[in-house]
Amino acid sequence: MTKAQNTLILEWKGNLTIEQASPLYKELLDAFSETASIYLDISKVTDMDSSIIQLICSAFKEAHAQGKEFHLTGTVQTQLQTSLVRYGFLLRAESSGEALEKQWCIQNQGAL
Amino acid sequence: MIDKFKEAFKEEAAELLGTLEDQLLALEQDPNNHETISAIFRAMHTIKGSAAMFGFDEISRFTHQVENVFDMLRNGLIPVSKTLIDATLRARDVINTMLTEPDADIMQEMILLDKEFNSLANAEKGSAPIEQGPTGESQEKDREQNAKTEGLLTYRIHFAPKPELFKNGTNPLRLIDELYELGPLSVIALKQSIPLLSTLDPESCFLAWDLNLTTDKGIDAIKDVFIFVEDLARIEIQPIEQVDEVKRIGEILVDRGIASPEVIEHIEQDKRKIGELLVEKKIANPEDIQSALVEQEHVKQLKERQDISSSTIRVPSNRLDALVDLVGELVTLQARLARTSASLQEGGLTAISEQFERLVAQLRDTTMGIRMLPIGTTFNRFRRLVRDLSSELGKEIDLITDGEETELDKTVIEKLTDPLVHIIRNSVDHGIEAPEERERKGKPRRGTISLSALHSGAYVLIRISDDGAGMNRERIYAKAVEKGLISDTIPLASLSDQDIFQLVFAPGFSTATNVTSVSGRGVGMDVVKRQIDSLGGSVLVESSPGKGTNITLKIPLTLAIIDGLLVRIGNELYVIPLSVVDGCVEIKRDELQLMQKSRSLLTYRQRVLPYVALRDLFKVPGAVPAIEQIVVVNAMDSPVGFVVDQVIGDYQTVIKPLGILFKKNDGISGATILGDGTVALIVDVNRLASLAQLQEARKVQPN
Repeated sequence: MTKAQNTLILEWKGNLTIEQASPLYKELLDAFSETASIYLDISKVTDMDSSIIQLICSAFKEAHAQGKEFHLTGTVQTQLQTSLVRYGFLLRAESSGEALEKQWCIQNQGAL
Repeated sequence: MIDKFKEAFKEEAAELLGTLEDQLLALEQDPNNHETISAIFRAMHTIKGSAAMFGFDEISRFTHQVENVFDMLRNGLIPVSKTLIDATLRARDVINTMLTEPDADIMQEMILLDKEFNSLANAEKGSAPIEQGPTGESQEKDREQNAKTEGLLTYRIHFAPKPELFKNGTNPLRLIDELYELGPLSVIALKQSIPLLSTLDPESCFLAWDLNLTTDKGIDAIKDVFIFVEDLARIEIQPIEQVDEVKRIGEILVDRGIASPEVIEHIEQDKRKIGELLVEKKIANPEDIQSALVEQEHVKQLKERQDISSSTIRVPSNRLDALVDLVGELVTLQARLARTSASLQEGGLTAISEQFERLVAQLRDTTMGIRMLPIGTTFNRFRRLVRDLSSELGKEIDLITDGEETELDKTVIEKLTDPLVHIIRNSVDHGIEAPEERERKGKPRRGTISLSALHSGAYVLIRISDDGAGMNRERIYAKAVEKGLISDTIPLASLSDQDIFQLVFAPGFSTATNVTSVSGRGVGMDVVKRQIDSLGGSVLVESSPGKGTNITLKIPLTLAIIDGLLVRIGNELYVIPLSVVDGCVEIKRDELQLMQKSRSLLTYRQRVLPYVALRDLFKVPGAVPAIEQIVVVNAMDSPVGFVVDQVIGDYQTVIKPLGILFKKNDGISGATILGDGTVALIVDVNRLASLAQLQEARKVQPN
């Protein structure tokens, strides 16, 4: 976790599954209480299961509701891209966190 | 009779082996793709089955082993590995050899591969896996039987787990994996029920999925997948009735009970996108629309796949050639009809003739279309070539292809293969550097060769580019001087890049200092040039040192029928291919003669062009008219003017080859028969242009 001018950058790593859901959830909650601008670097994430994806989606909604900034950043590993498309979380593969976020937000327009 | 079936089997097998190669290479790129693994398995299975049926027992036995290994792979018992792909590629080659050259000696390779597949199969199981024959077979038959009764159906599945699902230890993604095993699947995850972070229980499931599955295994097979989560989720499975048309989004939404037909009808009167409107009016939410779109796409793709499998027909190409010939005759006859009706001036006949002309033009285009093939099949062959060559030379090279769907006449595609092989070999061998050298130069280790095709008017442009070392001006010049291809009195600085690069195409030219088995024997590029010329195309080379080389081939779409410009010189008629004609200008003979004293140049659209008098070139007798016309053509990308007596007009030309007796006639590429039965010669524009340049050169430097 690094901090620069009120922006918090979180970095998640490895193959994330339900076992990590609770600690990561706490990390996100803390981040939201601490600052108004959060970046989540997912470049070192090799894969994530549905509970973690759910966590990130929930964070998007939270940011929207609170009027805070929450963004994804970093390149998305090929394995992760493949799973996101395979399990219907993305319609087409995206190689950067920013593009991934964009696709998710377009899908969610109005539903947020 | 049996022989006929055997031929059909060989043809089918050759096709399967072709796709097999593509799929293996695709699998190497994406080792987790279940669909590819299944496709390979199916191909092997088909080859095995039909080989046994037609008495190719050895092929059947050999293929069975490979099939076995892929069956294990399909069931996740062994992983995809380079050894496996290598061995399967080699096995593919062996099967191919067995089919095409039954007498070839491949025993040794077969024994080697037998061993390799055995050890691959034993890697996991430890015991002999080959003995599972009969039981496996009968199971398969059962499955096939089932498939026949159930038929292929598409199901709409809504899978909404209860929040407790995660706590139960179930990973919903594994269930989706199981569905993928059943057939083509489209998935969309629904995220709208996910609560805000502050109210979220991270260990509860708030996701849901909409899935579209097409399978022949029946609804029970789908229910089986969800059997353990029945109490933990709401699962709705409903078959989509088979419709021939792809459904509109509105219909899908009505089917799903999201909107009523009245609402859709009302909304469709507005011309905007229905999805946007429904969201705006809060009738549907965006994910419902997304999901409906995914279903639409799923059905569309499925339909395309079915269309491909059900609506093609195999026809021997000589029958097509006969058809094209006949259409050619018809085109000639139509021209004659048009002429006759024009001279008779009879209203009824003119109307018929005009309608006939339209029909013939359509018939011509359709017939030509039949012979058109996408160039992709040829491109795919090069994947294997690049893969094998680069590993032989210790280089790392990716081949990127683009525009595979571009269509070209079958005969043209066949003649293109050899030149492309030469160019790609050259790129792999001389163009792309070794990985270490690339790293030293600050380039990525892996080199890239890209192969693309696109339509451009009556031509197809095929571009082969690499990000290798590029061509070295100095070395090409030095080599050309050494080989006596160019005089050393011409300084290097006076030559343009184009001039230098064209030297590469001279016979016997090769700059590589080391001759490898791949290339460097000094044959190759001149063959490329000759072949492309014979197709009426041209080659353009661009290269920058250190950055790479671009070679562009410009190939005419078809060889049999062209649109031509009919011109007259004296009493003789000539046809200039219309695709190269830029424009026509009139000129007085005395003006021309004035110019001819110095050099044959004319000004055309503010440009100075060389010109040739076809009358002089073809030695046509007769008096020269006072006013002549010049047809400006683009030959080899530089414009040239041809002086003729009169331009008659455009003319649909069926190209007839000239006999051997006329082979030596320079500047003529063929002949055609006009409507009234007279013969017109088709000029070879590129050849004439270079003759013109030669003539110019002689004038400038009189010996």
